[in-house]
Amino acid sequence: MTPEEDEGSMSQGRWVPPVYRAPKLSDGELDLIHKRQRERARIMAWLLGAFVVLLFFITIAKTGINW
Amino acid sequence: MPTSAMTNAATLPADWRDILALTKPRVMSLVVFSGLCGLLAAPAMPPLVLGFTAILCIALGAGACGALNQWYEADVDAKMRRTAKRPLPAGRMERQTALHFGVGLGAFSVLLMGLATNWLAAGLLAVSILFYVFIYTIWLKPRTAQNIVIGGAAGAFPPLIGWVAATGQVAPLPLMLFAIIFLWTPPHFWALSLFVRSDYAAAGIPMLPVVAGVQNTRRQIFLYSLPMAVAAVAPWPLGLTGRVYGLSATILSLVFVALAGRVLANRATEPAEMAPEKKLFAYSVFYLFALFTVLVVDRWLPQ
Repeated sequence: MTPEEDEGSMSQGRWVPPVYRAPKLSDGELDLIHKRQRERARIMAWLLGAFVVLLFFITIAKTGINW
Repeated sequence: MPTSAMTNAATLPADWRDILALTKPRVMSLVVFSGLCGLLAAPAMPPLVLGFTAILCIALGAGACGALNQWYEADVDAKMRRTAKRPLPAGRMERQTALHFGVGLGAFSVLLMGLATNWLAAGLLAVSILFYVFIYTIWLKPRTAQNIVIGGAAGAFPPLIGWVAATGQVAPLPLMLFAIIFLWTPPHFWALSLFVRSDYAAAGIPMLPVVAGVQNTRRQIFLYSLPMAVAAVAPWPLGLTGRVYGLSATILSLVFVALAGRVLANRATEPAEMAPEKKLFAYSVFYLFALFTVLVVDRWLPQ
């Protein structure tokens, strides 16, 4: 899904830079992108949560605190 | 002047399963196992959470190696049947994604190892990742048939890292474990490369069977299995392990050498007729698992 792009143009003697337009996506492609983004966001959230818990226990172990 | 919209699977956000596949989970399992055995064989045990973190970091480091290897070898992988379905050659992921994921994962694993255990273990982990990527993947693999011999050092680090994570220092036994994996790697990989050599030839990778021929490779497999067997048994007479390990290592190594002897005696050139090579490859994986398991059992048995 690369963005559509023109090559720029001259208007009244001045260079008009290329205009980027959002790529045209079908509903199926949009659904697939959203599904993958949702899945990755969910996994990332779980991993970050696990990392926080791990850091907590590492800190406890390194400081030698007994429960 | 708008150009036609290009829809391409590689420009979609990568599927998480493909990102996971970048880490080569099956290779990771052997790395994690050997690292765990190095940690469990150490004389001092760290707190459970720190031991777990050390093994996690070894696994993440191995995953980073896998991702960076696939990033660098995407073109080569596309030419080999065995690897053509990986996410990058199959076009399911952008190459940059693999690079960013690999570098990020590697840096994260080293930092976490340093913070959780000690910086010597973190340094060894960093060296093993850099060695695998720069010395093995980028420098040696495409250039020399000895790629596996020297590159095998990268895979030999995990038990040493596991030990150092537990104790904070290097000792003779983990160095012996390093030597065992270092010497085990050539016969293990050459047995595989014998029956997939057409793949390596097609990809232009100078593996030993491609460069030096099938019979020469068989001779090298047998020759390397001898010092490997000596290194595997050596911790026993050196007083670093007990009798349980010594006797088990002797039997396991004798079987390895016998299978290597059968490979040496084989004259087949077609992969379909390479049963001894396939058997040696399968046994070599079992051998390392069994040897390291026995090492840990021996360490934990009451003396």
